[in-house]
Amino acid sequence: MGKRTIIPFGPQHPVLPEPIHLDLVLEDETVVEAIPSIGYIHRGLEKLCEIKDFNQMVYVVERICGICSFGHGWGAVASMEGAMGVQVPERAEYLRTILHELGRVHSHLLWLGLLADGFGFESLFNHCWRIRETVLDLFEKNTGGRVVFSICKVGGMRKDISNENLKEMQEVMNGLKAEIKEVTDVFINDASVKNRMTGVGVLTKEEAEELCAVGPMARASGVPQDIRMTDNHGVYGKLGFEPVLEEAGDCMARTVVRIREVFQSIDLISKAIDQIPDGPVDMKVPNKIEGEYITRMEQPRGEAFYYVKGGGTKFLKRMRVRTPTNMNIPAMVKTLAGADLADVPMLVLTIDPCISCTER
Amino acid sequence: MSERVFVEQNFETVDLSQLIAKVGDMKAGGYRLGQICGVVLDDDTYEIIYTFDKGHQLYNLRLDIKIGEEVESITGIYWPAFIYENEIHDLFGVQFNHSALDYQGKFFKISEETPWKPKK
Amino acid sequence: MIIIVVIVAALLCLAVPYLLGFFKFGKTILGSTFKKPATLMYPVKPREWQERTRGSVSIDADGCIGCGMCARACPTNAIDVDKKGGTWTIQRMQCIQCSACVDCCPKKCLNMENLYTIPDVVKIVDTVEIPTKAAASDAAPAGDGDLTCDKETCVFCGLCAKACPADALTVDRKEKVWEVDKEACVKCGACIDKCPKKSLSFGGAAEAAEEAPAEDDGPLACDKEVCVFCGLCAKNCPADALTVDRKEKVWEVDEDSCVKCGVCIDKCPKKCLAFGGAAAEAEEAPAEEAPAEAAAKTIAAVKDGECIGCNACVNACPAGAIPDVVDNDWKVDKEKCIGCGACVDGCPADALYMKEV
Repeated sequence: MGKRTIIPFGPQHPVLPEPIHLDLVLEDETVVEAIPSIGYIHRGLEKLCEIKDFNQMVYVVERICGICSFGHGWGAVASMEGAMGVQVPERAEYLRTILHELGRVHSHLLWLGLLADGFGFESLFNHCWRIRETVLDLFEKNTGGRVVFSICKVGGMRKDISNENLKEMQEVMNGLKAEIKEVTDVFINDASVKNRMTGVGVLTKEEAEELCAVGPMARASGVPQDIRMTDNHGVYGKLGFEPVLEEAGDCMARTVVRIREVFQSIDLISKAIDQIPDGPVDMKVPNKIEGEYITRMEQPRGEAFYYVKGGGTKFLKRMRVRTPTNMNIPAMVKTLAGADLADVPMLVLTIDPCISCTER
Repeated sequence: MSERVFVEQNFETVDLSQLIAKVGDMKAGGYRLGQICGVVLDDDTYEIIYTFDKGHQLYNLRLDIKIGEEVESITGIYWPAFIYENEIHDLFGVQFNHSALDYQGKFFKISEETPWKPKK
Repeated sequence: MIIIVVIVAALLCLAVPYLLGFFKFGKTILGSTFKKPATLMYPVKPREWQERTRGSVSIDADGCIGCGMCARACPTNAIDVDKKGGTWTIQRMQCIQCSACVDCCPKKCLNMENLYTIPDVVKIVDTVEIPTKAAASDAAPAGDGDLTCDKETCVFCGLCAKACPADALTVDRKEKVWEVDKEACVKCGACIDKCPKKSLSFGGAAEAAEEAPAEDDGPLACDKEVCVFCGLCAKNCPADALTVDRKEKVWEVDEDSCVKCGVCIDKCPKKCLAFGGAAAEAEEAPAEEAPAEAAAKTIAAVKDGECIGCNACVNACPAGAIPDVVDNDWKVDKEKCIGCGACVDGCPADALYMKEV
């Protein structure tokens, strides 16, 4: 056994704007063990449900994450609607699905940019974020917010989006495809990018199942695990959803899964806009929550859990959000063991960590 | 209008003594650990919900414990459970025994110890 | 010399994939060199706001009645309303622009503006003077003091409780109870606007029993061609003004009792009620046709496993279409069901719903 060195990674590290700390135990240049440590920014948002009524809780939950904000808002209202046993109008479900997929495009583009930044390809990073800006503009036009949308409410949507605006959204998104392809081709074909990612940090299918990985991380290892395949999540059943799968399980595969998901999301948005029915977008709901309900959402980063327990008043007894990064940290730690020190940033980035989500 | 398809809410209550055996059965049955969640029921009872998933079907184990009771860790069966067990330990003050990765209360860096434990 | 050539050749061979990779992106780089920048020349060229952009909350102070609904709805406690002092205060840096206050304002005097609060080095607090009670009493019919109800004229219809944005009112028609939770009441006046008998006022200085407003153009009438005589209108009438007998196909209104509140019209499953229709029209009952039609449209149904076997629906059904429930096995006679929805309203377990057939 060679001499061991422990290198602290984070909580402030250039590749990651969020605070996670890893103790990397090295032998020469190889990581033999990584010990994760989080908890720098625990905010206790879940506890707020005791003093904020369930309508206000939606705004709180939306602020768990600035990137998958819409998904968190939807997850919260879906669990509350489940506990009440109400079915929101179909148009609202369609609008939620469209906005959720739009959020996925914005999240994956942001992540691709960060990845490019991580391996030092600054111009690629800027191009990814330039394209993402178009998506944010669409969000601002249709919901009123660029990052936090506050358009979901228990019982439907707070505002309808007119069919003209939806058509425009469809055109813009379809027009964006060529621009995105130009950029994502670089990720797939550029030799320097390939060198950094192909064969790095392999997570086999067995390991992914054993470590309970979720989202793109699991799908890149060939695990067909996507909540959008179930029939109780939005209207994905009507859009003919098939999960994106890759077999290799390395950093490249995780990137390719997300790239393909961007195009898939644009197609889903387009299909949903073609099918969307007219009708109301909200309905009256009881002003108290009883019983408990547990539901899941497929966030850009993977599966998220929402558990609510009501006490027969407008306040919840417990609101629990389990975010995807929470479940991907064990997988990340396992893939880190045996990796080169220089590959650590790549490995940490390709799980698409959102530490603030994890700690809520 | 289409009928809403609700997520099946499968809850099964387990005793503290059966927990490990039951979780072992879930593992043998091919289930994946979804999450573990601590809930304060009243001043001296906690509820810990273990959620498992298989083929997108959820199955929940509900464990009721008195405050101060110690729970056997399931990290021997599902290693990734260490995140949740340390989280529940730090926030609620539930002691998990024989954990494969025990942070000794240092997982979350919070100013107050066990902030979500009911104050007597 | 040869060595150098070999080295250069080897380097070139190694570099080829990199160069190809580089040219992959070269086109994009070259293109962007000649394109206009993607960013705006801010602040020379100002940003264009979208219609829905949520920037900051503004208030139309004249319309504000100081009810405090906005302060209660605010998830971040950014708003303070001092009714006595006549101020409305917002902590700009605490506001998250969710626009919950704008949505709940009963007087619609709050607005969401596009422009953000200008950044500052101190936490900005904006205070706006709002009309105090004394001033408001001139303008609004409000008067001062607590909300009171003139029980002489009140018909306990419950419309006030339904209109109340703060859930401050409790009305029980059977027990003739009208109560206001003074803590919860925000004195917005929504109940006063809704009251069909004008028995509500602030401070009891009632301009009380004005006669019912002439917002309609005639007595309540029923189109008996369509009516299925289910009796839901009579059941919901706050003034007990309606008599319906299903067997005899009778629908009658006591025009002296009718307060024209419109509850029956809202509740009618066949939409056969209206104010001002030719009331005394079809006296002859239209026989079996109508119920048969109704059965073809919607019937009651049960959600699997939800029925608790309480038999409340059996008693509620005006058509006798539901047989006694045994072992939680709920059934409905599709022929007899008139689709009125009375069973759904009566079900304590919310196990029933109406389905289209």
